[in-house]
Amino acid sequence: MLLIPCPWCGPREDDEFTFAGEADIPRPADPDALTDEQWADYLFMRDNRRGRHREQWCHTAGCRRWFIVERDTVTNEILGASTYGNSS
Amino acid sequence: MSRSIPRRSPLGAIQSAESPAHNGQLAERPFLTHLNLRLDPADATALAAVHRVLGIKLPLTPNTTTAGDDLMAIWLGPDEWLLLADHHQSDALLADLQTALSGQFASVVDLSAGQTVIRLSGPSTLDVLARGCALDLHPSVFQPGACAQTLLARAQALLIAVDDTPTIDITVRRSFAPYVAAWLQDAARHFGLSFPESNTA
Repeated sequence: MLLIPCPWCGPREDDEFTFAGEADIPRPADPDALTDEQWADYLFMRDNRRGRHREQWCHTAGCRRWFIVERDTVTNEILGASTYGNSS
Repeated sequence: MSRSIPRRSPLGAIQSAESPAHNGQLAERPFLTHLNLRLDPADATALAAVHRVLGIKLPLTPNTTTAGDDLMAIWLGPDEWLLLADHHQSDALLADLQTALSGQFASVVDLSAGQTVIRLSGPSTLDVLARGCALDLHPSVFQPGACAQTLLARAQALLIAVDDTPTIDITVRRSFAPYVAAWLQDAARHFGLSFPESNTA
């Protein structure tokens, strides 16, 4: 079990959360300007990092907010959690 | 020919189930007014408007509640609250809030028919809940005035600490209520509490 530190509710067990993969992937400003390859890369391609990984979680069964967790993919150690800057 | 339809609470059958021998109680608090309120906590105008209507301040600290007469405001998220009020207030409270917040970036939604509150009280309350909830609900960390949204027996639930008995109010969706009530009755049995069986279907 992972104990995930929700920035609002504090540490909660992972059953309460939804995982949504790698963080920090901005939506392209002008999707029409992209080639199919670039669009597919944005939609589907993700790093599969060994070690420190920034990823998106949602506290689904709690406050229902999205936030970012930094986790070590080797040890599962949670290194920290942060909001998206805009707190809601 | 018109006929009024009697309203039914999700758990009408267990409106008051006591286990006298062990001083425990499992009861539904039916027909309360449940309003979901969303606004930006940085919006002082909206906060003030709500304060004027409710007479109490919205809790801005996560997982806390504020209470007034027959009214409780419960933190659900940084921009979201649940207002629990006595049933006789429902229409007036909703209308007053909608009027006070009209034109502002805020929403009030009536959830009264969509969820209900189950009250579990007595010395074994925390032991019963611990069978299906991973949260630490010990009074040292979960005092009256605290609330938490979590999973109880895998159902989404909002727990509210009411008093030191301890008494915990469990808010669940209407469709989950019979399941959660049946689960609570079963879990309570392990601590020698026997709440009368009921037809909760």
